[in-house]
Amino acid sequence: MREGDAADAPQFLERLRAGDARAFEELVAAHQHRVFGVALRMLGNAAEAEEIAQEVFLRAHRSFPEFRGDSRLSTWLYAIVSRLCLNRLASGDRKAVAHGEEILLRIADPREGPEAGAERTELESALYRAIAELSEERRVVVILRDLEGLSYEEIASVLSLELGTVRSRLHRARMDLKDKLERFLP
Amino acid sequence: MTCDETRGLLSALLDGALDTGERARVEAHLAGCPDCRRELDGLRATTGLLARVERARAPVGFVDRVMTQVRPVPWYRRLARALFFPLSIKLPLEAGAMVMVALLGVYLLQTTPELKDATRRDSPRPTSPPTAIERSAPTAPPAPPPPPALDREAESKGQALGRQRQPASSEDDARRGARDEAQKNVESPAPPPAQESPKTEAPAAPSDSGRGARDEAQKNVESPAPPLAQEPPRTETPAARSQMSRSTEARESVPKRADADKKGAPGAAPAAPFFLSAKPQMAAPAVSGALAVTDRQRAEQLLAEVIKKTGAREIARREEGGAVVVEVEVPQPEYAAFTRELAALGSLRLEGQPTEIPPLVRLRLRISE
Repeated sequence: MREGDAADAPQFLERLRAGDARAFEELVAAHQHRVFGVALRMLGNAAEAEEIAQEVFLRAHRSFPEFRGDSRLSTWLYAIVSRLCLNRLASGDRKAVAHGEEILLRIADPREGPEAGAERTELESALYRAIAELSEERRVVVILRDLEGLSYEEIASVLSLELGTVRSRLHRARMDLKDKLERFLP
Repeated sequence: MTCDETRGLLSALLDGALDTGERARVEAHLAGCPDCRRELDGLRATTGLLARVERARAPVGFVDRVMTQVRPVPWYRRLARALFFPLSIKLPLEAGAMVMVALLGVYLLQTTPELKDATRRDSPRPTSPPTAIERSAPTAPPAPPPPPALDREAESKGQALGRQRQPASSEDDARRGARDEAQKNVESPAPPPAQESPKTEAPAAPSDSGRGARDEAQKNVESPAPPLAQEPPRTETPAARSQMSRSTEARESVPKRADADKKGAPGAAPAAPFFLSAKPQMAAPAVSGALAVTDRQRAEQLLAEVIKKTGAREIARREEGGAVVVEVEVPQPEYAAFTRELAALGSLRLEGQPTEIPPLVRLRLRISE
């Protein structure tokens, strides 16, 4: 079970539908990182990602009365953030941001030593660059599967795709990544 | 199963997303194909690298920022935000709109004669108490005086009328006439109406004889002055009847004077606007209007005829800004006929309707070419 899934209890959903601010705050706290993470990997810009992530929760807040509970809250939020990101990327209404530019400047894990941090930074920089260079439709599939851990069925539900489409897109995305990350492979 | 078919399913094999039959066929192919096994190893290593990607964390304060946007904003804050924010844009816009409204108001006031007159009427008039003597001396200085012959005729009529209506001694008449003349010459404030009523029926000054006769005719219809004890009822005495006939003559003297004006100033600008309006002395006219004509002199003549025909009367006339302003009172039964006749004179535009049924409808009409 992923982070935040415990919030799918029926009582919690009822509180959300009733407009319970406390319940909504718990939901935001539980799902903020995954929503923001998808937006960050998709858009490559932290400010833009936060803007999208806030919009995701605002839309969710407005739409709770219509949320039937057929899917998990996390899946629902993934669907919203994926759609918003794809729309933003397709609209061309974006600030001039070099793909992956900001992601490459990620902060090293403070728990590791400086050398390990530097090595990790190089690998992750290559990873982020490779992900950012994927086409948008392949990128979102890889992010949802390999970074967020959604199942094929969940990805198909989130993106409203056929299962076979998810499978083929994911395979092509991984093949692209394998070629780009070849020097890091054993 | 070929290598291409197998490699298309390798990701699903790694994720355990193949059904049992597919998995068996893929594994059978992999057992005999080292290239596909190498491909599978490469994919496994790649997904291993992706699994090392650290999860991104939302910025500090993200939850608070979301909650701030979700909390309901009081209506007055929403209104203030809608009205004033962003200040740099909306404040100048609103200030500009206020200035535009003010300028538009001033422009309308200056370009609309009706509004201008209304504003002037509302302002206090220090030398115009609503007395009979004031009405008998309308402020129309630019109007050319009538010919002397007409003056003498009106004067004699006025004197005769004064004698008929005032059966007092001739000395009293002479005194009143002299006092009237003195008052008109110096334009002193009028005495109280109770003292003024008999005076207005005395002969008018030679220069104002036409107007004096006309004002007498006004009083016959309007009769605002309190009845005097020694004055007989007008409608029941021969004197009153003769006064009525004289008032009709006085009304007829208006086109005569217009003719005289025409003769006296043949080269006067015929295209000058001609206004008929009420003198703002009592209540505001119930109706005001404008009539565009092609010949002002002819319009004056026709207007006099219409006034005569409908039993209306002209109660005031003055010149203002190159225009003649005259106010008329029309008996209510004749109002419709009067406006029809006016409409025949030119392009008529009336504003306002009598809200009640008064015996006399006060009408102000603007006529211009």
